[in-house]
Amino acid sequence: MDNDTIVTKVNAALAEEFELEQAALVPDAKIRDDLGLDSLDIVDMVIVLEKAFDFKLQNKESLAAIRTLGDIYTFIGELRDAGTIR
Amino acid sequence: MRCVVIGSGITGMTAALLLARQGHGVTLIEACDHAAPLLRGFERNELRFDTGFHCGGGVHRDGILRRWLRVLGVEASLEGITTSHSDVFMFSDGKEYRLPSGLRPVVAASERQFPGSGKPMENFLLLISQELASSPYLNPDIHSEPKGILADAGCLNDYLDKAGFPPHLRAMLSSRCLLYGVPPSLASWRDYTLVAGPYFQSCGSWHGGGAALVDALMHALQEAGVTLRLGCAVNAIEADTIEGVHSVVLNDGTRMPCERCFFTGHPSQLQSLLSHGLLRPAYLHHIADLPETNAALLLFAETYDALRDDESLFLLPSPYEMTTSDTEISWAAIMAKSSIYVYCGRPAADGRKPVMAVLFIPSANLPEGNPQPRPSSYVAWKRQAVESLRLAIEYRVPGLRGAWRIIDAATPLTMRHWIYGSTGSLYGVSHQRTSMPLFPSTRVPGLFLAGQNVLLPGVLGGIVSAAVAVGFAFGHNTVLKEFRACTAKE
Repeated sequence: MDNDTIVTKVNAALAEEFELEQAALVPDAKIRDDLGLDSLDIVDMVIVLEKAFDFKLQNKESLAAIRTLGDIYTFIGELRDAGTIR
Repeated sequence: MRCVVIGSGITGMTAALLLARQGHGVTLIEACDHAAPLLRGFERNELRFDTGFHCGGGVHRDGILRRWLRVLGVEASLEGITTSHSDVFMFSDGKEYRLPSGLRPVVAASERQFPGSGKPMENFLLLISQELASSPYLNPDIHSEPKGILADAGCLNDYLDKAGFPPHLRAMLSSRCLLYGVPPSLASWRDYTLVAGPYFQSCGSWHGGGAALVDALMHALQEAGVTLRLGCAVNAIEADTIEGVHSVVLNDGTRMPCERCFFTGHPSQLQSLLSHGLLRPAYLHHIADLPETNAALLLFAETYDALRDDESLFLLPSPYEMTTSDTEISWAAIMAKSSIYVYCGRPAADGRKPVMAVLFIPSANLPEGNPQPRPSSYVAWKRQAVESLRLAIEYRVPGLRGAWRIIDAATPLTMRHWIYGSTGSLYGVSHQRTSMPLFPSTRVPGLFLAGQNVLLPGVLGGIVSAAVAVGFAFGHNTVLKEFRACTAKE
């Protein structure tokens, strides 16, 4: 899966599940301040991503580093590089 | 503030009590025509089957359950509290072991039965106690906020691997996961310590078990001025995203205005109670797709002297044949490969003792709804399942042959009726290490979730879940003030 596909898939899933505008979904968008997703939503976001990319997050604490939408692309990219996501 | 608590199980009663003591006006709503139907248990052939509380951990004087019962003001009403329940483990290879309760007795029993295991056991129990003592809701000396919900201390198997226990002892420790319906391979260390930890410290019960606890709590609720509405199902929780919750509507049309609502049922029910648009699709999918614990078949029987009073039997497969998957249990494999839990209660006046047996089974193809009479195919399946389980238990405990009588049985259909999980699960939502947690808070201001589906099962799980939810609603220190003061008096 290339990086563009990851971006498209993440954006589509988040737009649909959190009712967000596509235009707001830029790499620099801060999850909390710009997208309005708080700690309650992060849990749901993981489930959305798990479903979209068919994986199971093994370490919840790894979420702590995620601040921006770009961090999510990187996070998914790392799972792909590790072979967790095909 | 006006608070409505939905569901009168251990969680709902605890939440109502804590809220009323803080000066709120509280209404407790229950769909059944009597309070706490599961905790109260039921009677058949003039024998009481304690489905709610046959034995529990942390019941010694300084134990965590005992402390919370004191906070709730019901400890003094519970008579004949025992603290030294022991578990018997019978393996299919003929090996039989015991684990008492109490940290020192467990270490001694471990060393006696498995020479060399005493020291690693001591260390294992120390790690459990440390984890247990880290929550402000379990340890009055902790004054910090509860740990983040995403805190992860690893999985149970890592700790068991590190301890290097012999296979049978390891299987005995793993079987504590049966207490909350999660396969050991999927169990988180933290949940294991929270549910099984108190059992190692002390385990026991009191006269009248769950029913006595319900009576004591009902009395306390009355004294605290809680209004109880029995036989009232909830039709809707009315709210908007700005002001939050404003009322709860009952099935008879009554509208109960409130500023805070505590929902203790299965979270998947929320979707039908809240109007469209209040919760985002992501959250709705989360609560609709929560993993469920295994479904189970329960037998209720009577015996005179085939089993000892107040004793738990864990009938376990040989550790060399244990299945790690939660779906591999088939009827054909029942004889040797499944884990069965058998509990014998205290005798009634005429000497008969109630026996309950639990076997986790794959979720069957259940009929839709709660059909009466049951479809004939279901009745035939149930008859065969009950007979297979009876034979499997008698095969493993030959002393029961001809010495007990099955009175009734409960299937996943029964569970679905009471627990509301779609699969007929025994403990509702499965708290696995990799499943994402549910917060007590929701996106709807004033609406909070509590109960075994949110935190953990058991009487202690329900009580703590209620306390945590009230803490999220009104501040942790308002709840913990009483918890801390209660122990300070000792």
